[in-house]
Amino acid sequence: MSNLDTQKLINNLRKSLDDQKTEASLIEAKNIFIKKHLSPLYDDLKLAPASSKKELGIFINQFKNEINDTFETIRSRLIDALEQEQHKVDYNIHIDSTDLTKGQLTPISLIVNEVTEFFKKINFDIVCGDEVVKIKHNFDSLNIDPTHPGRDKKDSYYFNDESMLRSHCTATTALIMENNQSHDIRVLSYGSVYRNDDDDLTHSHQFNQIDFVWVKEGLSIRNLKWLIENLLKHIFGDQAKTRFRLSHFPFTEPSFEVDVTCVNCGGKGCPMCKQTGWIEVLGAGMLHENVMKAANIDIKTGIAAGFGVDRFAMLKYGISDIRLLYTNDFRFMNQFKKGAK
Amino acid sequence: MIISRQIIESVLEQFKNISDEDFVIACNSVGMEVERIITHEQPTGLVVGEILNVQKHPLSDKLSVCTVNVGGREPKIIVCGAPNVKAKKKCIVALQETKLFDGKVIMNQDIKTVLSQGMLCGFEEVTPTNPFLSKEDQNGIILLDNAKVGDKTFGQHIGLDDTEYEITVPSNRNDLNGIFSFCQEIAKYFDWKYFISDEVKCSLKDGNFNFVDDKTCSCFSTTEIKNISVGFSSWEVKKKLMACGVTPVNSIVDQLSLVTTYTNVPAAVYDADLLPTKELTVKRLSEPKTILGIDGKSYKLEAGDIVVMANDEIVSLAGIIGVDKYKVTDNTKNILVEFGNFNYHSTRMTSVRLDCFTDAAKRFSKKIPNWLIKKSIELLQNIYPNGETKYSERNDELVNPLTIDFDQMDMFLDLEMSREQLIDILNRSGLNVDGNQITIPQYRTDLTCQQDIFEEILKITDFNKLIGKPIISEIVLRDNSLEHSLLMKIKDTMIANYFQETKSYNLISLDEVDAMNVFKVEPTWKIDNCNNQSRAVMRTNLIDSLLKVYEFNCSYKNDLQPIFELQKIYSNQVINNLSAIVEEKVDLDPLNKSKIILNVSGLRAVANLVANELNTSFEYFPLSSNDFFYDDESFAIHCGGQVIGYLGLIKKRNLKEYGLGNKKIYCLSINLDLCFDDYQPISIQAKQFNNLIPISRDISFTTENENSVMDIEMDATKITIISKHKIVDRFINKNNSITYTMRIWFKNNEKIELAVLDSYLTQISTIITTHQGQIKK
Repeated sequence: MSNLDTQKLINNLRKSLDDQKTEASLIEAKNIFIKKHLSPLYDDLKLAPASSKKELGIFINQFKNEINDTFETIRSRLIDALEQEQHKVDYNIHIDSTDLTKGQLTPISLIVNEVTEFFKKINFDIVCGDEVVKIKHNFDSLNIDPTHPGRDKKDSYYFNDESMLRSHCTATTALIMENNQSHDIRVLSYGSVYRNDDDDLTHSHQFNQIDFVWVKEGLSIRNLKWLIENLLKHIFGDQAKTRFRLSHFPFTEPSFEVDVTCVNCGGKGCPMCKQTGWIEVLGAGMLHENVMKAANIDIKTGIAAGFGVDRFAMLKYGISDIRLLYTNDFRFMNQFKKGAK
Repeated sequence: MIISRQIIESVLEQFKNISDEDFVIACNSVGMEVERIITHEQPTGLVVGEILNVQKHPLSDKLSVCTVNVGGREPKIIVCGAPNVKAKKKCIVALQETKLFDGKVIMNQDIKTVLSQGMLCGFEEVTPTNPFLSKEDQNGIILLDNAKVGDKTFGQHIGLDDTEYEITVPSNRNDLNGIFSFCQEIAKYFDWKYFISDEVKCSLKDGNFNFVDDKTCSCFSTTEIKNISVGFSSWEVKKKLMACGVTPVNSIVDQLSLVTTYTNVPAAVYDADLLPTKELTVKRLSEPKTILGIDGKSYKLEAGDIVVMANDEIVSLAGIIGVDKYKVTDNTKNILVEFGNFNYHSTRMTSVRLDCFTDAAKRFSKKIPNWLIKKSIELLQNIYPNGETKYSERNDELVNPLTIDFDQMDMFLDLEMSREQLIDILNRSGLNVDGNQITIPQYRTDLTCQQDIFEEILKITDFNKLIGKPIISEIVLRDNSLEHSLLMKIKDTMIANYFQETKSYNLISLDEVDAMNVFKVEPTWKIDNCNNQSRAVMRTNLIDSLLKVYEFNCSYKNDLQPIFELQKIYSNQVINNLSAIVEEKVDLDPLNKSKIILNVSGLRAVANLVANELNTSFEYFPLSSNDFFYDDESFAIHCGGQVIGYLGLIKKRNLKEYGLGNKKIYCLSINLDLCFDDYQPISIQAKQFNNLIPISRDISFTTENENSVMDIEMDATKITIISKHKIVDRFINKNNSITYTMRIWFKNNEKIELAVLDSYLTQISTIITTHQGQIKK
């Protein structure tokens, strides 16, 4: 029996199996082969003398295993090929087809979401408030005296002697602070604000702001710095450097204007940053004691800051004309869809 | 403001060692911002010459033939057209082959038979035009006194070696627009000994100006100066003024302008001989009057405007502009100089109303301490020692001492400084500390509270080098963000259903109020000070704006896509309104021709998703006789028994106004506040459910009467074993009869024999045939 050339037989089996197109015919071809070449060996085994039985048994087992291995390899390959055949589709990937992108928020909402995400982490109330506000909350409560230029009728929109369109979101914050008995007031307000201004590339009579205060006894200017730096890193990335410049706002003392490294040139200096390497993004400060008094709050310290959402959007997305945020041109808006082409 | 390096150096000598970079940091630290640094290119190829003599050109009335010594062997003959050319004066000469900065090359040239060997230069030939160049220098050549003939580096004589800084100062520190206060702040930062003294060294006679009060004018002075001559200032004066952003006018005005650059207090100057009297008064006009300003423009003054008067004549609009009739001219011999501290609010309002923004108006539109007025008089008396000044002031402008809580200061600033260090810094700032009392100098009327003092310390501490400190705080349970979170949920729902968010203006014109006013809301919020009719009133609906978005995009041939806006609308109530519009079909996959149909049914599905987010449900009732929607394709949306919105197909006549008449546009508009008010978090209870596989049967039947289907369904529910039923298919036959397929689910709490099941099916068949239905085998 050892004269049997199993290698040759297995090659024949491989050829025979390779020709099969279905799994059934593959099994049939295997069975025919077994009947023809393996089954007679079992007959021989019965008749073989006891001395060579063991050797023959081992030989038969090896042959059987080889047959099975060959069969399984080819069967697995055939099944793959058949599945592939079944799923063959005549697509041309270059044809512009599916457009399953969903709707999209405006750049303004995208920025608001990004900022509120930061403030939710540190447990802030998020409110949008009304755009029609009392003059008292827009100015008087914020230490803006009646002769301040910002109160001029040419600068703000008034409805009557009591009400106006808010010129900053701090009006909403002031309303929330009023008579607030909490020992820890954390509130962010956002939404549209209005200035009696002509619309051009960088000015709009309606634009969006975010304003926040954290009123709590014992807050220091170093806490202010920590909060603002972390907010700006959240928005502009960890690499963004900040610069604080002392400034003046009626409702905070001291007040700061805060710059980040120019998003256009990375701080090298370009026309966008007037060659300074810095872009002003935010106003901040410690709430003025007169604001606390007006709100009837006993707490002495509070951090406040505010910034223009439209300006942030323009810087972050490279938008050169603020009016694009309000004309709703689909060619512009579709660029903000995730996966937009 | 614009301030020059040389002017700062003239006050603070140490400033010579400070680089521009360090200066920018210093300014930022004390609250000022350097917006721009301006330097000048030094001209090359030009030389200083001396005009030896000037003769008339033989063939021209306007040209002169000058002999000019430029330091060579032979003087040059140069033809010049400048009106101010003068013998014995130094000038700047461009000789043969000199290339000017604008690329022009000077060549010897025959000018009307005279060979000109060069050109005498005006300022504009030497360097790019300075916006503050005087009229005289725009037309004339540069005439110098002290330059050396043959010198090729002459830039220092006309200020080209200076650096100018454009600086923004804090709005509450108008005094910083003057060099004195400015230098005080810079000196404080660098710890240089430079203090402005409260003491003013000038001689003042009591003016008996009884009009001085805090509502009109807090101090007023007049100084009479006799025997002056008016001419042009030297370049020594002019270059200083131009480097500080001031246009030279004449020798008198320029001297007063120099005083202003130091103190930020503008002076008014009159030809004393033209005034009806030298006893000036200040008052508010009781009736309108018209004046002719020194700029040649006519100004209509109103009752309440503050004016300076001589007898019954207005001589100037206080702090803004003088009257032309009394201005200083070349013939003036005696002048009256006036310094006043007028009500800055009135000054600003008047200048804005008259659109008259003179340099004086800008400076007087913010508060100026009286002390600076006196300092200006002191400077004036230095220039004109013989002038006699009359002066009156309101004497209540004293700055009260402030009480400081140093413990509060330590906590607030957290600078880890000792008490001594803090006091040292305050002393450095010119503040005198005695225990917890701080005396405020007269020139710091801006320091009114404790926090102002904290700020003074911060100015000297480089805030940018401080390390931020995390806020240690407790977690507080908050519940005031509900509106925001609901708004976000609704926006997410809309964008998940292919709607694009839009943002449009809330102010509209009165003509637009009725457009698509589906809720029939009266506009309540009308702008009182409206100066642009397109922004007259707050809109009361969002659909009009959304249709305008479609109109705009159609004009650019953009494919229309579903859009929505979520925004408060303002009427008697403030309501969060969600509005959306869509063309009926939205292409998803053009290749496979798949679309979403967003007709009333599709929009109802979207509205239901919104209701789900608000944990409520909406009901829909057909609309009839509606101005905006077609009757058979529109519904009122109800919630809690109230109409809160509409959805439907917009009538073509409404769409035509937007150029959308050929489109089929559906609209959804919901007022959400009722849902917001009643919002309740949902509590879900899981129920026991039957674990057996449900048993259902489909029965198809044909009927010619559609109403009978409802009857069949109703009767079927009476069979107690049926748990639920549903019409799952509807097919219109060729003969117009309709075949329905009804699926019936049986209660299978216990085992049901097939025979029993068949008996129930027979019962249902009977119901169908009773109602004229024909069972389909």
